[in-house]
Amino acid sequence: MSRRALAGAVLGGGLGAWLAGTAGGAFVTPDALDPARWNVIVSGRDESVVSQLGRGTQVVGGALVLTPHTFRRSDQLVPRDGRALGGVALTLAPDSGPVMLRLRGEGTLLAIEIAPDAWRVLPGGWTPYAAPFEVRVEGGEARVGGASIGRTAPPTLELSAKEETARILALRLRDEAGADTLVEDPVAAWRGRAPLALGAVLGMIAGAAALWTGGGGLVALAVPIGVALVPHAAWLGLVERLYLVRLAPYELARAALALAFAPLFVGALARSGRAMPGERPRRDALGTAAWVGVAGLAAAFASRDGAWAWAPLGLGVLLAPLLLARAARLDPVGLLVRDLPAAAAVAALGWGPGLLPAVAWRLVLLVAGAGSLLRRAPRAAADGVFVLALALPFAAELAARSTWLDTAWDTARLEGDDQWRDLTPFWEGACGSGPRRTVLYAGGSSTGGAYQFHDEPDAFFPSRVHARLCAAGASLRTTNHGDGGRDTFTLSRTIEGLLAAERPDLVVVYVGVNDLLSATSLLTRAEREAQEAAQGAAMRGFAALGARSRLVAGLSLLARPAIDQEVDGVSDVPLPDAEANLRRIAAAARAAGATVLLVPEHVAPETTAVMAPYAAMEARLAAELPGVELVEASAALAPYAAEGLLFDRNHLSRAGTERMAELLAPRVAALAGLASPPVADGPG
Amino acid sequence: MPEPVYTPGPFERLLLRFGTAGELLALLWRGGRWWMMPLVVVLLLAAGLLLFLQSVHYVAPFVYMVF
Repeated sequence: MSRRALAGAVLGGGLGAWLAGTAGGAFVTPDALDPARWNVIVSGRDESVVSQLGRGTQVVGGALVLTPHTFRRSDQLVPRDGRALGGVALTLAPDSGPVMLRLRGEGTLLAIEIAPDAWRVLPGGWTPYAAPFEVRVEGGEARVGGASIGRTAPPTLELSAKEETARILALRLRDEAGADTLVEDPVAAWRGRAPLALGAVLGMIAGAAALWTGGGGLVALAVPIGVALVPHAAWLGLVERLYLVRLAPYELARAALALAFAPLFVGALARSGRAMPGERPRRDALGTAAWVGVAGLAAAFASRDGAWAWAPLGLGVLLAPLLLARAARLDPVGLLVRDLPAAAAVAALGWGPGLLPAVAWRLVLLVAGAGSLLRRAPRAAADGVFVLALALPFAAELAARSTWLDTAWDTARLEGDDQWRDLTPFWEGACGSGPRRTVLYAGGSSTGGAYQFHDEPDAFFPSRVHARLCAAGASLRTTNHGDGGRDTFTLSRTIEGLLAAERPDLVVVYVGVNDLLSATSLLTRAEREAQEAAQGAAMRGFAALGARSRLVAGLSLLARPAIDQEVDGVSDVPLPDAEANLRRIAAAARAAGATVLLVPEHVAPETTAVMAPYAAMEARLAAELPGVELVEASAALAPYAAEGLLFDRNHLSRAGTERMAELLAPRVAALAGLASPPVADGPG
Repeated sequence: MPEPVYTPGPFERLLLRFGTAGELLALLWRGGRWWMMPLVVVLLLAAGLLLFLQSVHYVAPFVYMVF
């Protein structure tokens, strides 16, 4: 080993160990929170990788880390212990971002922002404190340092990050008697260790290679150093930006770090002069036979799942380097040995995912061997570089289509879930023998498809209403077209088809939350629809061409805007749009001879004020439009609040579903011309 | 057989001062396929336009503003 390489190894080893100690946390497998003790509420759909692990909330580097998401609201960490909370004590790392601590009681909400050295009740001013920060709840009063900060009904606790990553070093929950109910000590519990040894070894190899290679090597060394310094929050943001639904941030970080060493590796390989083999021997029949044998074996392995259609083309690709060997008079056996990683990748991964690493490896060999090929066969080598460079995106497309990226980067999915155009009901039922009346229910996830009853479609309120009416002797057909994310925009664009398909006598519309409180773009749904319609046909066709490619879809995600819901958020369906949509729905129903029953969504008390204008708009429409009726569900259900009618903040619980069914059944019966079920007594 | 004699021109000599990357560029230059550059540039521009056109359609995952 030269002195330069030796010096590089020593310097690199130290640098690698330092980097691993200071920035290695992003590359370490985090510990999961105990799912028996904590609920991590993650907004967004189909984003879970591994339960409790690997996204924004985890134990890493001796701290309970809460990382704000780029494309979603922060995770909420909620203790599973249902007992009333008596107090919270927490210690933040000195470099931590602030933690939001919410004490949520029935009808009360205290939002406390805690920084490492100061706290405040929003929206008030900051007060300094000495760690740990402690809040106690006594006699309906929340107190910090003995001073009252506000009244609260017996609260539940929610923790979340704000704008920066929060690092909690200790967390202690107490009951009303002051006894500990939950203690998190991530410093003691942290099993992972910063990978100092691994960092040192990688650093030694990289440092030696960099100094041995020369000036270009030092430039190439900057790439992995830069990647190593990228924090966990950035990897999390990239995972979300690219919609990598099956990949944890630390896995992406490791893959990126491995790839970041590629320029250094190529430079070192070129410097070694061993990227290309020596001169072809006079008799090379053995070499050609070896190529055919290895390629045949790789093709057989790659086709083991029955993908034989790819075998002829794949075999040609595997044997292609022989052309270069012939043109450049290279030893075919030597070239075969260097090409073995490509054959191994295809054999191990199959044709779809395997061709990408094979093409990439051959490109590495050609680039590293450019100096040698420049002398031997520049034209054949240049052709090889062009062919491989052009093949790379196709191989990447094939790889994406062969893995879970095929679903993750499916344009139809990325453009906002087109499933709402599907007119298949989420649930349907029929009872009675005579001529049946038909009731159609439409709405979002509280009406059908939500996670709380996902495997029990007959647990949603439309089927509970149906059951009550059937028990009362009705002859009835019920179809539930509720599903997650649906709103008045989607319903107004499908109502004619639904009316034609189902021919209902009554349409029950349970909407509101998805209209006003969802923000998935910088534009409203109607604006996005208009923008698409305004795009020229040629441009639409060109865009549609790109939409067929998973690679284009995936890379396009890099350019998508991140939305700060608090600042940029625009309702998917603002109030005026919602009114226009409901008018359109009412007009279509009237033309089809159906009555419309509007039911403003029942939401948690802290959200009622936000939804009040929506409920008022629906009441105004019911008073104004013929054939449109209203049930003010929130007011009617308010006396039953103590039963816990909501599963979270807007999805009905089982108790809520039964109360809603009890409320709606007489009105549905009257409006649909059915026998009315017996009416229950009030609460208490 | 001795390695073929290679006499770089002035431009290639300049390129060869930039290590491995320079050798690659010299290879492409000497390979005589530089006239394919317009094709490559057009392909790259088309890919960039496609990426932009696609990205404007995408929406964020479903979220609630006030929850």
